[in-house]
Amino acid sequence: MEKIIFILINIVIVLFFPLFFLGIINKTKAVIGGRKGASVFQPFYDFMKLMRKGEVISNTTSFIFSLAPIMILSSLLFAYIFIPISGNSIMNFEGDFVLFAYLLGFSKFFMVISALDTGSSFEGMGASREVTFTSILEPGFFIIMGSVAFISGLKSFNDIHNLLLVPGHLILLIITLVVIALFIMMIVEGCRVPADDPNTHLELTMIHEVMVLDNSGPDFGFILYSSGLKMFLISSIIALFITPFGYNLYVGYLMYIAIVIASAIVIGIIESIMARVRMSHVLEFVLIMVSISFLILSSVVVQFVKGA
Amino acid sequence: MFNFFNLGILFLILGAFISLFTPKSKKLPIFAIFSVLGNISFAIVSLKVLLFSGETTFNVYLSYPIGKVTFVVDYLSAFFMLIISFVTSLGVIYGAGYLKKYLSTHSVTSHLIFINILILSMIMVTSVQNSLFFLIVWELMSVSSFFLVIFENDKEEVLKAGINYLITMHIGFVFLLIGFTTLIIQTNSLNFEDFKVYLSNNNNSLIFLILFIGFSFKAGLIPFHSWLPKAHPVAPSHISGIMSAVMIKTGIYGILRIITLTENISIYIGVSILIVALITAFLGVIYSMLQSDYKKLLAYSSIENIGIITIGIAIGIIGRYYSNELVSTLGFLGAIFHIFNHSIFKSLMFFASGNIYQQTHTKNIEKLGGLMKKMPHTGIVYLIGSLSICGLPLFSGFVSKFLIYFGLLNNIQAPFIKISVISIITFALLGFVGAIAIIGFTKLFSIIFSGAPRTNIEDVKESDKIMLIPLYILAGLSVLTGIFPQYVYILLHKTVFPFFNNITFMSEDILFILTKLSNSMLIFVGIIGFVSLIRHRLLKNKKITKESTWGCGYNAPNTRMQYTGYAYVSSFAYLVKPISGFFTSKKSPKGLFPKESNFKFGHYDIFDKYLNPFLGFISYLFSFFGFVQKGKIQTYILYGLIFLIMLLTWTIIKG
Repeated sequence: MEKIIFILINIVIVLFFPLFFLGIINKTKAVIGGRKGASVFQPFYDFMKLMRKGEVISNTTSFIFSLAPIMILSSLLFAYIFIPISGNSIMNFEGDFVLFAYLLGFSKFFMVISALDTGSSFEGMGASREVTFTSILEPGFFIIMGSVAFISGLKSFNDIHNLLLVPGHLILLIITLVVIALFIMMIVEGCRVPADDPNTHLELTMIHEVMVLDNSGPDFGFILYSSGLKMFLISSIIALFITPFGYNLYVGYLMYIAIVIASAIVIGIIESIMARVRMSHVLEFVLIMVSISFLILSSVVVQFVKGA
Repeated sequence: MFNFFNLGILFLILGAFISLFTPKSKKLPIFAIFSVLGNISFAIVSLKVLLFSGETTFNVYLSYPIGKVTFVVDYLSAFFMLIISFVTSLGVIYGAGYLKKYLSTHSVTSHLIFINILILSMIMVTSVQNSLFFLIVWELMSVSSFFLVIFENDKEEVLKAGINYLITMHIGFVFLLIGFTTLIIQTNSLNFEDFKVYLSNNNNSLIFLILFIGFSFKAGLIPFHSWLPKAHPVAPSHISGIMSAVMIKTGIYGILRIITLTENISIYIGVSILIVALITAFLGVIYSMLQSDYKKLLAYSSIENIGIITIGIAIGIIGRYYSNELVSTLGFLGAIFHIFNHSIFKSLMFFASGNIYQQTHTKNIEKLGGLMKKMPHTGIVYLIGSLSICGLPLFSGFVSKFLIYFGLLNNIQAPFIKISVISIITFALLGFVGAIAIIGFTKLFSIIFSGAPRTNIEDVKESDKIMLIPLYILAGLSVLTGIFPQYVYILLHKTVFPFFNNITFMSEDILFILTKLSNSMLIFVGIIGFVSLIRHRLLKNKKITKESTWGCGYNAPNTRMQYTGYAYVSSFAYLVKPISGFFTSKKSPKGLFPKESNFKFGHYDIFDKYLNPFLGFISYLFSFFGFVQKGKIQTYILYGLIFLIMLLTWTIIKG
């Protein structure tokens, strides 16, 4: 019975939060810009509007174009079941974060082939940029998880809280670095400022938005939801690293939700005070994440040598 | 003496003979039937070993100096026999469809006979225990595959690539000869069993490395890979499928065999193999991503996958060194599993490429596009193959990569911190390789099958059934392995037994994780079903309009405005310029009446570039000995005579 309630809560969270996440970012931006701004529930209205519409499909496309949104959404929903919220995930096994990373790859694969399926030059351009930038993130993510595994014996997302039990002051530094690195990963994967601007109006400067130019109706709704979900998933991992466990289940939920909302607000603040970097400098921004991951690796080695 | 092993040999020899005398119209099906029957017999032998009985021994008596030849089908041999017989039988069926078009123009019969010789020699390479006979069948395998590669021998590029292949194989053969001769002299025996005693009790590093290099030539490990991207594209597709899927794996078999024979391999060798494997995987995937020739792309991707397999092997060796059995088992098992998966999806990709080539007559992806509407079946299996190669969840490639990752993850808390750091770096690089593979294969699939056609494809149509059924079998197997890996594991897990002396094997642990993986995959399938149901409900009774692609307001887009494959990968290729050999050259128009102007971009294999001057030096050196080769038979007979006289004198002097 408890298990069922647990799963139900998880499902509610995953249905509600991705769009809410986008809503909070927009609201933060509006408030800082001195506007009243749309309600935080505006993405829900947009989403429902899209769900009621029909579709316009390019006649160049094949079945891939209609298949891709389904695959993108399902792979990210599936990735969610490995994220432990308040201590436990719906499902876990040793090495599940490898599966998580590959599921992000799975969604990217379909995103890209759907973009190339339209035969548009703009969408090819976006696809090329997206795979280039996000492929650099992959080794960074694995170095982070590997380093954490080295120091705390982590085998799955569920073991992350063991990190807090590792003695030594250096561990605080390591956690801080991990959070910064994952935050950059969230910005790049979620295509936010400064890596990409979702509100840009020129196709030539887009990365993610240009790949979905031809999607409409429910398909576009799925993609909109998926991009919120992707950021939500990575912010959940960030929350895992900084939530102290061992609390009551429901207190755990509250802290987790607070951290996720806080990361959405931080994204909003960053978008308000920063401009996006030039396309040729996006790569440098992405490489910061990889450099930080190497810093984490070295601090882990230092921690080990000092401890021994 | 009846057994299925001999029956298989008999079927193959019979098939080769009968194809000599059958009329052209019935040649291919009759040959295919005999070949498949032979392969089924071998499959029965290997399945019996893997599932029930354990080792089986067959003896064949030959004349001096070989004497009794023992074929021992242990778990390792049985596994390789299984994939060889499975892939080659599908390859032969596919080939029967593929070769139809060549019946009137080429000599198909000799080609068919060489196919059977290749199958037979591969089966024997993986099961024979006698080193001299091993070298003979190894040579037979290289020569027969050489003749298969140069099937279209009226083209210059084909012959060139074929001869390159033949020579490279013989350089590798020299290493094997040195290694095995040393062992034969030291042990005074031809049998692998005696080698094992010698290798386990002596300093073995040098012999191990020599044999490893010899086998690397066949496997295609960088820097011994240069034959592979040349030979695969020119061979007919069923042959490139068989070669890439199973023949280069005999090189891996050789490496695995010497690992079973050598018990105490030093950790330094393990780490050096790991580094070579990482370089292979990394450079392999980068070069593969850059290719515009789809068969060349697949060939480089084979190099990448051989690198991944070797990473697994290296983890196995390292884990075995400090007797961490879980790590070691996961490493070897990951390698074995990846060999299995790779043999399935790579043959699938090569066969499907054959369909594309026969219909479009081009290997350049920049000239294709929009084939999905013309060849939907080939397109679907191509998609499944691409997803498997990228190692994405739900498909077979993920399972084996996951096992290797999992081995590395367990290796991270190794007793030595150096090994831990190396494991973390390997972990990351393996992830990077996976990400780059996604770039390469999204390009391959999308540029060929999606978008609008870049050249006229009016007369392109779907291939024959006989060329599609093997593909669907392979694709189905890829998906099933991805969803139910635990059953494949039950079939394969005994293959790792020969690597350990005494097994306290935790098969339960690995089985448990694979079962969990399988359960989660079923959930994934459920989610996909649920989401597509929702989409279906939402779009019911809704208007779906067909329009042209959004052209940013431009009304007359043409197909040449699409993104090309090269443009798609160039932003990544530019990042890795120093190692990818990526270059651009530009000649801008000048003056009032500009004439010539061009823009060129491409890439080269850096090993080819830096090895070529060295090879040129060697051939310059050897040109001084050119006078020995006169091209007259009399001269050669004279050489023989001189040699005999010298031998005679030497014997007399020595008394």
